[in-house]
Amino acid sequence: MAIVRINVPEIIGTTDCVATADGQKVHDVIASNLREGNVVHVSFQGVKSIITAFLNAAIGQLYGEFKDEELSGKIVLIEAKKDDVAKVIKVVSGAKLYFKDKKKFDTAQQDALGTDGE
Amino acid sequence: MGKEVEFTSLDGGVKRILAKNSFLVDFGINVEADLNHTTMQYNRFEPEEEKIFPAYIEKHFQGKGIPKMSEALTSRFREGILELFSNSVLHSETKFGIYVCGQYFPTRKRLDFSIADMGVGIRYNVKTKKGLDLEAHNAIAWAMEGNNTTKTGSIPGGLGLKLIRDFIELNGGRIQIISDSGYWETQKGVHSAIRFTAPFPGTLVNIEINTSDKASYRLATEPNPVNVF
Repeated sequence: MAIVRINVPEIIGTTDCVATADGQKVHDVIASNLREGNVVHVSFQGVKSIITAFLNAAIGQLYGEFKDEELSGKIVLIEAKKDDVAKVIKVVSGAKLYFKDKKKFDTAQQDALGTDGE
Repeated sequence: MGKEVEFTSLDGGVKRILAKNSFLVDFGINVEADLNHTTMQYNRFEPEEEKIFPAYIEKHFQGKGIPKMSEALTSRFREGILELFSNSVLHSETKFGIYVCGQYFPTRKRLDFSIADMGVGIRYNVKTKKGLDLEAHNAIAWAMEGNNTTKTGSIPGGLGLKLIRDFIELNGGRIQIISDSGYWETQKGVHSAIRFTAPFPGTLVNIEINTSDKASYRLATEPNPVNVF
């Protein structure tokens, strides 16, 4: 196990964290490190603006791939503004709810639409 | 063959603003000089251009007559606009672009910014993604509630509009949304919604902030970055 530091603007090449595709790049780096058993220190140094769509792609979707206990203590936010940390907290709690209810949502949707989904 | 558009009853004040922000150029009316520097230029973006949109905001915030707002207010407003743009990119399925413009009203101490897309609309998304067959104005109200989202798949959603709504309510501003045949607005914590007789072919969101707001928007509790996950 190693502690790996990643910097968000360095990964996406901009200080504006607004594109879902960029969030996906950050997600891929975090997820591959977690799979290798590493602890990831995610640095927000240099971030100018960050929106929830980006964070949902970068961090929120991890809750659909990993169990809560596999994430707890394995990701640490560093060099982040308080507002940005608060936003991540909202995204994390929203993601937990989303994936908890996703199965229920998917079933309800399939029932309503009469399809078997994709 | 192209269609012809003619404006009727275009009020002088409105016409002047639309001439200053370049909206009327496509209709053969020249751009008027924005001597007061209160206009945020009308612009069309493609959904794929979400990475260049922040530069537009930067350009049109600087050197304008837009008042000196507190750093917290400027940051929240900027973030709100970015969230709205992202919402259009993610949900509208527009094939005809995303349109933006803004205007500062110094006497009223209000700053308005609008984002419109020519996409499928909120009612359609709520119906096809969530199976809820709501009237257009009720579909907008649904989308503005809590964690509601039409997002499906591996990436969650549903926070952007809520954050904007919370901020605007604290700021004393207003949000107006037109989508399909629905109209919804919130001002001073009071929401209202009506159904139009004819639909708008997409979604338009206008956020209006109270620029004299001096609130710091400090967080009630200090978040601990170690125990987020």
